[in-house]
Amino acid sequence: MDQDIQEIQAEVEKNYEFVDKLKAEIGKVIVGQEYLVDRMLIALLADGHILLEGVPGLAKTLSIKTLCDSIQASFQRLQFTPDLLPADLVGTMIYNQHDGKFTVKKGPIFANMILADEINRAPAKVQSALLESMQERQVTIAETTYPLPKPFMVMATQNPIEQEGTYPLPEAQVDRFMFKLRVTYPSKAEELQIMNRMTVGATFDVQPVIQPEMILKAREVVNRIYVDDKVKEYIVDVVYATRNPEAYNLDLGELIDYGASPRATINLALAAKAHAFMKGRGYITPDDVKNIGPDVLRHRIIVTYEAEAEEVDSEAIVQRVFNEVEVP
Amino acid sequence: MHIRLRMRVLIATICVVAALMVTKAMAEVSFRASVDKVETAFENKVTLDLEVTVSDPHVETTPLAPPSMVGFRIGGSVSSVSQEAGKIVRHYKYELFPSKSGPVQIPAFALEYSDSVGVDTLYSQPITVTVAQPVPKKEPGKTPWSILVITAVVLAAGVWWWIRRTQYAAAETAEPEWQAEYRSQLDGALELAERQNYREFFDKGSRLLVGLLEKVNDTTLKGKTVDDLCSWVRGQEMSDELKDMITGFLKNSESVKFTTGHVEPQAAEGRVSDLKKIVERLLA
Repeated sequence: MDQDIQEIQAEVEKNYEFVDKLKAEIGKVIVGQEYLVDRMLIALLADGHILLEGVPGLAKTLSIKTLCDSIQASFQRLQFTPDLLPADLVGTMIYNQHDGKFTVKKGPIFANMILADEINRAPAKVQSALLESMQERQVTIAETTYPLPKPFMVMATQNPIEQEGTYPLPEAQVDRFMFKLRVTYPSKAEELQIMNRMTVGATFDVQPVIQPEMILKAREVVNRIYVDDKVKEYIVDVVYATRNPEAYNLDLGELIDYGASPRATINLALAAKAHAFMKGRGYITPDDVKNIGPDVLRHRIIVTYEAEAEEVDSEAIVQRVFNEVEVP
Repeated sequence: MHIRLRMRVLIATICVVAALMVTKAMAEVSFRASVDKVETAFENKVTLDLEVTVSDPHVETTPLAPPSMVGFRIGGSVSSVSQEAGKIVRHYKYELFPSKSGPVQIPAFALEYSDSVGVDTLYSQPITVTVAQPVPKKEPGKTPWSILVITAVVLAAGVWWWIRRTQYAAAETAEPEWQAEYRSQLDGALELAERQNYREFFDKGSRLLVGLLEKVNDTTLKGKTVDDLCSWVRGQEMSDELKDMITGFLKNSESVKFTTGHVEPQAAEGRVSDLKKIVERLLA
């Protein structure tokens, strides 16, 4: 066991160096948004997807585009609209007049990274098609199943300020995103830097610093990262506390309608592993779990009407859970 | 002159004897009363001896009965008979206890007897006994209640003061219970380190440290991870050296607790030493 951890540690140290390179390359274009960039990398390493909530103009598209360019991966941006059809997303069979045969026209989802912009503007059937692809990592077109490229990551955005004419994602589908991130405005200094950088007509060439294969290899290392039983129990405690808060002396019973699912437990452990990898560690600590926990849990807790009336959101509930559950 | 003096003494002696002895003309019966002391103290025993001497065995005497005496309490009596040189001598001894002070008189006793001549009565001379004033004596049963109560209160206050003083002295010198508890926990952790069970040592040591920080700073650190704790420690008022030791120990404990627990003994010894210092300083 001891030997295994040392090996894992050595592999982590050998592989995680590209993280700094990636960050540096992304930093050439993106000012600030370190939190967003970190979470994108963690999701990429943990094979997860991201639901992004934030007002327009926060460099969401630019961030994922830059990440794509940095790892020499394919990128597609999909603007979700009410008239979008599933076939517009996954592809369809097209009749070829020259040879009189149907040929497969793959949709834009066949890319390493997808930005599904304003996912809540598309009708449920399109959302469902996307989310199914995210989960299965394959697409079926006319009875033929096509695997999606690896790595495959979807970053979907929701605009929190315009709710009219939208189709909010069902809770069951939201659960399929590893993270729900809340992107905030940059600081004053960062905004000044953004202005200086973007108003001089300069273009920033992002060079690919790693290959997608390196991401896949890093994922193998991430999967091997050691998780001690104490930390496993801590993860389960945290998730369980959202379902049964009284067992943890949390007075949240009336505020939580549904707690986090077992998928949350899995995603929390995976994301914590990726977080540890980003820190160059071959093992998880409770810090990894607590650091990444709110992003994994905030969209998986359904609050009651009482909570809404008291203006208590899932974010506050998650925070209280982490504050009260005993750290090993 | 010398002969005169002798004569006077002789006459006086004869007079005294005559005064004390009542003798019938034929001197067949004599009756004499005497006491062992004529000066005594209140309630001190005085023995009265009534001696009846009969030379003729045909003489009959009535038994003596004690007269009523004022100023004396009769404690007991004893009589005896003996024969000395052909005479029958009877002694009647009474234990008398003076019940008043000052000069107290033992009255004359009457002795009736009969012989061939007839019946006659002899009387003893009354005897005066001087009784001194009684010496006041403290009797425990008669101590006033107020004195008893005051004494009890003073004694109780003294005992209370002594006990409190002992307690305060003990409190000043002894360690508070919670400190002793943490020292005990430290001993437990050190035992683990001695056995080179470093995983458990760091686990126990870090818990001890967090508990002690909570106690000393009167706060709760529940839910805080090592990074949170280190940030918190950095914001506290303590020496930089102590902060470094605490954060170093916590960081080290994390890397040991959540892996296999492997740590080089030399490195571990440094942390063991650090833990001792940290605990001592926080307890101080």
